[in-house]
Amino acid sequence: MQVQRSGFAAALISLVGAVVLAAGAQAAAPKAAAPTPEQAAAVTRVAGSTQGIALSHIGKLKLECKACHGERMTPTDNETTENAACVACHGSYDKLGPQTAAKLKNKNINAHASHLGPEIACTVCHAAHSESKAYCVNCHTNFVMPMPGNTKK
Amino acid sequence: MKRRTFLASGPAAGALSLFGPAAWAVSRKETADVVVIGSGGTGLTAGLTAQADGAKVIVLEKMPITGGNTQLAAGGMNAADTRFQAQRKIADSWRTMYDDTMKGGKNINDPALVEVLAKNSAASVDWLSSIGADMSGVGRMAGASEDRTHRPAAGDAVGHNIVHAMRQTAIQRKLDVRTNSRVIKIFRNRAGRVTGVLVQNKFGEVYSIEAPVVILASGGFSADLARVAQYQPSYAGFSSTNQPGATGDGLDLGAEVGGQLRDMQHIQIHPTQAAGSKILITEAVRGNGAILVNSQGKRFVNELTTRDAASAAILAQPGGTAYLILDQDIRKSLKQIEGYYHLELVKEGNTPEDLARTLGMDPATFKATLDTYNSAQAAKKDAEFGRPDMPRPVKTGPFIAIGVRPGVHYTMGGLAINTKAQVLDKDGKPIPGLYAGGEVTGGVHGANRLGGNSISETITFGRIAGAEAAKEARAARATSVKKA
Repeated sequence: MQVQRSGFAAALISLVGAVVLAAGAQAAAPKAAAPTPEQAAAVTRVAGSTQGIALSHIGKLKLECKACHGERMTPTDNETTENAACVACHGSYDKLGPQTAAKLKNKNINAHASHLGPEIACTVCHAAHSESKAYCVNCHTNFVMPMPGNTKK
Repeated sequence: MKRRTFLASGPAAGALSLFGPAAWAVSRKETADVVVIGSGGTGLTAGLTAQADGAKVIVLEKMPITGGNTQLAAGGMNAADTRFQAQRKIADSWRTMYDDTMKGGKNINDPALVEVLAKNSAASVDWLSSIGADMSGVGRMAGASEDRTHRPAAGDAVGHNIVHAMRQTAIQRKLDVRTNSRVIKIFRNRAGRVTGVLVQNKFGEVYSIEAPVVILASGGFSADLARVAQYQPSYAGFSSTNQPGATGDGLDLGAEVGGQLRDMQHIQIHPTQAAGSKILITEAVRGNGAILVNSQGKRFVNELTTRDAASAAILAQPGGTAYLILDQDIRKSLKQIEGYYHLELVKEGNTPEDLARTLGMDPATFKATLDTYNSAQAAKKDAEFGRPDMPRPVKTGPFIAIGVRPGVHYTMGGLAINTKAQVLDKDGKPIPGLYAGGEVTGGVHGANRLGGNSISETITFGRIAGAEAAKEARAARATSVKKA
């Protein structure tokens, strides 16, 4: 399986359904529109940051907080709900791996098909309310891995 | 910090610090039979084992991912008297593995722990196989008298293979594994018994878990370079090959409740870690013919000297770094070198002069270094540095450079344990309810760990700690029922 970490069998089951939905969800995603100042301010207010992928999800995609956080709105230590939400729209590593590889010059350095996977969670690298950092570069400090959602370089 | 009870009140969570407040704001209390600190090979093995023995287990991992250093292991797992050896008619025995391990550790290992390691190693291979790991390949690493390094037959790296099997088994069995969860305190009551832990999660929330048994499986401290230099000042300036979580906080947790530390000054290093990366460049690159030059393009050492001497020589060069220099024939002789290309650790030049210019060296000096070495290689005599074996010249372009520096790789020392994986106090008595296994402990490897022995240690002592912990938790539960 994909994107799940140890101990989260429940989320694993929901994953199967989520992957099926992925194609439709992507097709329905609206085209670019910058977050309104109000929307950006809302994220900043809640999470204390103007960085991260929450901005594009709220602004461009017009998603509500609970689209990622669920009705409970409180992430668990493993951020299970949030990671399942990533997979629901973006697909599992089975899909993301080849998709990412297609864009790479050096196909050996593929964050979505790495030796840390396939259980590694999306939120290990992708942060919604702060700067994102590829976990790879903790050890492979020579890798250049730009991350979506980082507003400062 | 003396804390004997679970606190329900204190300052706001935002003001928390390990040393600051007099009390913690504990947001909730949970209970478990066994708490495991760390989710590398030892932690997941202990957690799965205790759970299989009927215990309610919570595994806590401070990092965002499970697997620790184990998932990075590339060598293999030493084991003797295994069925995979029998299939190959390899005449090994636990006694030979014991002797090799004691010799490698300069005989300061705890002999009782080494005996446990060697005698249980075959059963540990079987256990790993039973949860889906592939240990059917058998090779040999340095210091072993027989082929006993077990690894996946199809070339998958051993660490990835076994951690993947453990994670999948944990998912199937609904083992409660929590990432982003740092233990900041182990509780010990007046009677001396461990009673649980205090946990801080990624969001700053602090909660307690009451448990009669705690297993420390938190790994070594190779990634905490200040701590390394404190125990071994000659390794100041080294880099680390370890995952960023290997900072040794588990040693502090154990020491705070009275655990005895041993052999802390014994730290394993590697002379050729790729500069600007945590990747180890295998010694076989030098073994197969590569030379070391400094940033001025000059050789400075017998490349095949001991790890300590080679590391010290590299550190003494300008910038504390050096380059491995090789050619296409040496590249062809060793599969791993392709991996260094994949990871973009390699620089090339069609001629020695081209490569020198890429590296910012004087081309004539570098060319002269290669010419001198190649003459020595042809004459089979290295007059400059006395290198005993020069299997290949460095003459077929494009020429290759890999920047390297010495790295800290493994910490042999740690908490003293007995053969049941119980942590010992300063008087050598077990601390009731506290167990430990893997790199956080000392004694198994003595002064020097043999390649392939640490995976073996994690599985064997993880299984022992898990089984003993489940047993003790059962006994503790029976006692509390009787009291009630």
